[in-house]
Amino acid sequence: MTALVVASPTHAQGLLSLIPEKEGVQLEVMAPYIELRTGPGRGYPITHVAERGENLRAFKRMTDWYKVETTDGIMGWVRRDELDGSRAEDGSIAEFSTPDKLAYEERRWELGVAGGDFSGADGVTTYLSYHLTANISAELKFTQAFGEFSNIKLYSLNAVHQPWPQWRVSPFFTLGSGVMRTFPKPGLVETEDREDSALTVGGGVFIYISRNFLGRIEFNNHSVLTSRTENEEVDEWKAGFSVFF
Amino acid sequence: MESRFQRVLLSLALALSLPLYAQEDTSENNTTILEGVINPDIERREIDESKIDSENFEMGLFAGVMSVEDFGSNNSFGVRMAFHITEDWFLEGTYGVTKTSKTSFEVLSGSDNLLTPEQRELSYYNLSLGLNLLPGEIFIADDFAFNTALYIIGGVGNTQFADDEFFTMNFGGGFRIFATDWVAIRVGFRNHLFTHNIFGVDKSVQNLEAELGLSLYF
Repeated sequence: MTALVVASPTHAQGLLSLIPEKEGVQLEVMAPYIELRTGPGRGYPITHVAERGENLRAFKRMTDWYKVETTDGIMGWVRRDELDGSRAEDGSIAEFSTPDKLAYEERRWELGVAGGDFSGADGVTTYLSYHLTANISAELKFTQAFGEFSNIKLYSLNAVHQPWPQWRVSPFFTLGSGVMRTFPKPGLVETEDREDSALTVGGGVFIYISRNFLGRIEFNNHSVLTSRTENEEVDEWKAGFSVFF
Repeated sequence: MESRFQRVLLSLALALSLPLYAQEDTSENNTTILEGVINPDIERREIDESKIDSENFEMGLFAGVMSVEDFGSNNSFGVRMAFHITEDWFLEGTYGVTKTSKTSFEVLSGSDNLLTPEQRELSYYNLSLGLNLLPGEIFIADDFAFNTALYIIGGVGNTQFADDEFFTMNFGGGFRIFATDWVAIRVGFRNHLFTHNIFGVDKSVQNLEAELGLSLYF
């Protein structure tokens, strides 16, 4: 009779596995050694070291970390740059793509948030854009402005043109149209909510910061096609940041 | 005669053995010995990321208590969605609701109702940038170790309350415990700041929220 003694705390990871795992990628370690950690971060402890010539299976990714399993069944998280240069199954050297300036130039999806001045009011914008080519992207924007007398919600679809996408600080021009809804503050005489069409023309710069971050400074001029005799002009300045993936 | 036979046999033997030596020469020298000295050009090829499960998104539900200044502390509920940009930074969108209760004035005066039941419903959304700090492990009993991380977070958004909308800033922090790689329990605190004029004059309010939530990474 032998009793099972748990000598050290085992990691709870892997207790739940409801979702089937992907097959992963087979790798042979080419670096002198690589470190396996308990979690996807530099602060988590190293519990195992795989040496040159050992075979690994990388099957999960979280930000810059890959979860690997050794042939002995030991699992851990390895930083991307440690795995880069390992030998793949077909004999080639495995290359792990890092989000860099090249990835920035070839980005597809972009999600961002910006804040600024919306004709004297505080404005907040969130947007999602899809890059059709390196130069042209389509953008869905939602802007909310909080004024003294009314709040504004602007939903718009914009086309963005970036003539020099390879520049670190790259100017862009934008054209769009949307719907502007105005909600006067309660207690004022004019309390009817309004809905108008708006045309937007604007420009600004993208600033590639690092990895998959970019900054954005933008000016927009909205022409609000009101039902009154005169159209309204709204100037908007904002700065924000985006991530691309 | 003897020398001619010798010559024929020797040259025959030499001719037969040459290819053998030559073969040995190529196989030994080129592959095994040389490989140790010079690494031949091996192609670099990008790995097939589609075979690897990527888990940079987080989705979660939370419940807690939100104290809305002057309007009591009440249960709150919400959903959140986050994108983990790096191991340190994440972008999070949150939507939450709570039903506020009567102000002290309304309770004491007995009759006056400042807000209708619909106006008492408070909902907010915000977009925030978070930073993970102090990653580590906690140990439960002898057998289990769980990864944990603290985070601080701050951002901007909107609060809808009393038939009006307010520009709202939020900041806070919390603690994440990973049950597995893709399930996390979150405990957090958030302060929502905005200025309203429900009482006739502008008033800046701080609204604290404490919440407990469950998040899935996918």
